[in-house]
Amino acid sequence: MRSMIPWSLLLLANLAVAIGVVYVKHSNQMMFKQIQEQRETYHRLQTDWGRLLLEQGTLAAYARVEQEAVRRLRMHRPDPSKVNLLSP
Amino acid sequence: MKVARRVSYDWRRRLVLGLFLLVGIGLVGRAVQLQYAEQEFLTAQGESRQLRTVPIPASRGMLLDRHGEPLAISTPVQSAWAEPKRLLEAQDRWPELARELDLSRLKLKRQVLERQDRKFVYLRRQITPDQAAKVRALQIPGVGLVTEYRRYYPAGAVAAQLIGGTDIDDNGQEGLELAFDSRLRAQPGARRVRQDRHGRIIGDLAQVRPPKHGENLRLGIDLRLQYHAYRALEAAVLEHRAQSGTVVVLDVVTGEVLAMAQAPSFNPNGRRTAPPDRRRNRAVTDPYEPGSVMKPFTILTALMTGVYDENSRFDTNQGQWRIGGRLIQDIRDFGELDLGGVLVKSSNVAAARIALDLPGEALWETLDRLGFGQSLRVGYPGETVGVLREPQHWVPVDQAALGYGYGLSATPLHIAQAYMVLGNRGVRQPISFLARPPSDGERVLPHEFCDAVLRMMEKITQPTGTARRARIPGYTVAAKTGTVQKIVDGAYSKKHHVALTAGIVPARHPRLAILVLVDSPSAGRYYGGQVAAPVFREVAHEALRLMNISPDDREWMTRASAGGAG
Repeated sequence: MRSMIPWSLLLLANLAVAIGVVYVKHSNQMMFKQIQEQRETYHRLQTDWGRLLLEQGTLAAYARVEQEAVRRLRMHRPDPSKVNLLSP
Repeated sequence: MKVARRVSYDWRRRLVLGLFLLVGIGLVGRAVQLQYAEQEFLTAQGESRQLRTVPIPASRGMLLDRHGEPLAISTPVQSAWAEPKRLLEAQDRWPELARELDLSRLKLKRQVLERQDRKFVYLRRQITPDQAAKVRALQIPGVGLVTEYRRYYPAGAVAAQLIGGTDIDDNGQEGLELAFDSRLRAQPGARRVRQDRHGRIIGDLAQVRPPKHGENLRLGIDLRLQYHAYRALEAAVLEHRAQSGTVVVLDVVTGEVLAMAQAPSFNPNGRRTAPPDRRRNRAVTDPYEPGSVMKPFTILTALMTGVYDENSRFDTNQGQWRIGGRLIQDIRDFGELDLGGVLVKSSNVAAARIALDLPGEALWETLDRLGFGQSLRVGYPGETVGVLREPQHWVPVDQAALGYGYGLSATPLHIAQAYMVLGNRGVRQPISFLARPPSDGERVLPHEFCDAVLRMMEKITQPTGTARRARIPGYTVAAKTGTVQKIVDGAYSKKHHVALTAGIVPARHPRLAILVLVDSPSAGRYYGGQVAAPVFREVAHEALRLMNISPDDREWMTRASAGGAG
């Protein structure tokens, strides 16, 4: 009877470890799914960022800014004779 | 009877048990064979079906201007690829695939068949996100998408030659992209994954190699200034029907290249390749004879050697002087000039006479110290050093010609560098394409003589000087124009000219050295003062405004404050 105790303990431990292995496998899979999703998000955001940079490049090109300033906002560089210098 | 019957059946039992035992032994034996003897082979087979090493994309570093505006960006794009063996099994779907990829069926077929034995074949590189989504939706076995990077240049044609470009694999090919390739370059990482039979990744095993992203580099370029320089130059090149034009703007104090524009230009984002003579960065690759813009250095040497001082006077010999079989001419007879007058009127005769009166070594040494005939050590691809022959090889006519800038060759960047040293009052900073704080420059010329020459050069932009069109209200400007005859078929041409204007602003507190060069203007006017000086004024004016440099022309300020009652 006494000799049964270490054996049953071992059996229990074995069972616990087996369940542990299953659990870890499962959580590994869940985490892998998560990281894959994160990677996809990262990739999507990077693509978006690239697209936005290009958009910004087009909209904020100096040629366009100048055109808008002159044509739409009717801005112009002041004539030097109309410039007053304030000395500090 | 009963006993005999029992005995007679016993062998059957043994036979069955024996068979079971044999089967058992067989099974164990097979298991041992699979587990031990063939394990290596089988594991390898399994892994070759399940395990893949896939790349982790890494992006090439950005090139930024001095204020952080992007000049070259890598944006992720998708490329379609295929595993030929598996794609061959799905031939019925090729028409759809060809349509979405915008390829002809024939081309698709050829691409796949030619590389049947490979595991990876690009079908089409760098497709649009829309196309990529459609290809993914088709779910054709053996077809996949990989992330790659495509280089995009937001500044477009404005800085195309300077920035250069990369090939389809994002390796630097030209310009700054090549010069700084080792720092910009990215190294894709790799990871080991497990995939199922549909090619989906189901597990990460290990990162074989971490991805190394390229370094972002901040250039000295000011994109706004670059844009204005390009626009002013492009307008002038069109107006004067010139072959090409170049503008270089250097920071006198730090040695940074603030702008380097060239017209005509090309669109670096386009698929079509531009002709090579538009692609190369002439400011660094093309040597020119600088001509009259070299006269300030002749005068400077005259002052340094003490052969002449500011009050020396020169007879210009009625505008003609023959030496060593060569006729040196002025555009008209300037009579008698002082040192400053030689610059203001740009007399070739006087400059040649001064040069001939100087010890040859002294003139050579000045030009050598200013960096002529030497590498700029910026590591720019295709850089030309130019030619400055040593005084031992000179004959008198060479020395006289050098006085007004003939007989040597230099790139626009070399000429700009010489003006930069003059503007920094004799302290030479190494040229830098990257933004950087001022370092300890090297004093190559004496301070006081540089100042004296700058003061003389201010007079050139006065209403009677040749560079009067380079005047900027409110600022003192030291500039020198030049008109050089080009050598065509071995002789100086009367029809082909190079118009230059080089200068320093503000003259009293130098901050910028600017060079404008217009090659072969052919619409009538061709003098440096007519063609290049207005571009110089535009660029300099804009640069002063953008860099918040306050007006320093005392005379103008008193007039302005007296006039403007507000």
